[in-house]
Amino acid sequence: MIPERRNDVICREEEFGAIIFDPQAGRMHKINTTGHFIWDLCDGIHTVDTIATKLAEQEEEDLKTVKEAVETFLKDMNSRNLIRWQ
Amino acid sequence: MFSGPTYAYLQVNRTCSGCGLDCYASPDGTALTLREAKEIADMLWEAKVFIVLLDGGEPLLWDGIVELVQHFRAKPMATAIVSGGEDISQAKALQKADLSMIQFPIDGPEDYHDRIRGEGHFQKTITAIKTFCDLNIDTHVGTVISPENMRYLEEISDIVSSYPVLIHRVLRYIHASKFLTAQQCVEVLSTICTLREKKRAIAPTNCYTFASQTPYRQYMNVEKFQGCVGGKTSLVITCDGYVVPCPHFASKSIAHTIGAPSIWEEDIKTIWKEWDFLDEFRKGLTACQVCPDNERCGGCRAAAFHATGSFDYDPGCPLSDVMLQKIQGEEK
Repeated sequence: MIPERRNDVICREEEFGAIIFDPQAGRMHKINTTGHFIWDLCDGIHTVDTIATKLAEQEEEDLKTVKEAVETFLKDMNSRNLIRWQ
Repeated sequence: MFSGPTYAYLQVNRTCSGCGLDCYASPDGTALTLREAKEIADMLWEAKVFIVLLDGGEPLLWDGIVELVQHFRAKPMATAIVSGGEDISQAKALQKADLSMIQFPIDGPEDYHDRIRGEGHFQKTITAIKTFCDLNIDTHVGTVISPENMRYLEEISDIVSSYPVLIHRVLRYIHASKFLTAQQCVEVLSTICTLREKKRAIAPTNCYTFASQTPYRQYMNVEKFQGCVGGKTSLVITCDGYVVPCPHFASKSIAHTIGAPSIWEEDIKTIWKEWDFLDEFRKGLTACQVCPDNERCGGCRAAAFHATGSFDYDPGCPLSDVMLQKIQGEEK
């Protein structure tokens, strides 16, 4: 599974993470720093496994736990129509 | 704190046919040129401001309105208009320009509304609402509540609910003497609760910063509620180029009084981070400093400023008296 963020969606970095703006819906979404890390990797190239591995390295956390968090985040982003699956 | 505003009001003009309310932007004929407005749009976009509300005066009487909406939408910023409904001849062109939302005022039943805004204005507004709803543009209605029209709120809601309006927003009339008292604010919010029970799409604006201290709390997402968003997530650019924290500071004289910086002299992010006044504004009113709800509320700074000439307390807040007594007690 490869997540890809919509290319019209705009991301603004903030101290707490980022704000993602969906211009079609006119809605903003706040994400934390972990979400921002995952979001940046939703480029249509990185798989869920690769993203989870990179995040686990970054956070020095257990891969299984991190993968669950990544999947939950991506599911949420997909339900908000901000990413699609390739 | 956000690194910059997420949305901004852009006051394109202070031209309108006038009304019986003392307005925060009383008509003095000042207006931006289209070129200036586009330049500001580019600055906002560069600062990654996502949403713009075009305000006046009456933006629909401003010549470049369609081209400006197109300019914003091409970026692509969400673009809304806060209108008095005075001229809807450009409605189809605005639909084509992909206008995101428009808001029109209803101040009361026909007689009252016309007394405030002029003979025939109520029907003009109803036509505007119908027209924009028919064009499938998100249409909102705003009602500015003062002590004079608060008794009409249910009647106004009956009128609004007969059209496919997305939301009926209830504002506060901010004025030196005709402001809502704390008791009246609670009354207004309680009426809104009654209307919500009837499944009406009605909500107070964030100017009722203290809403979580009233019966309206049951309808709020208290965790997400931000209270006054002026200087926290939004700012206003006047048609003279001044940057001010909220639309109630959008006259030239008030901008001067508070030492508002000019968009033509400083960039938005610098103003956002470095303007002392904005920093103070974010902290909330004096009375709010001892209130446990200060972080999310902070009181309506505009109501305080206009009614008391200072940022001491919000005369509409049901907790102001208690907090002021608390401060006095601490000082003794």
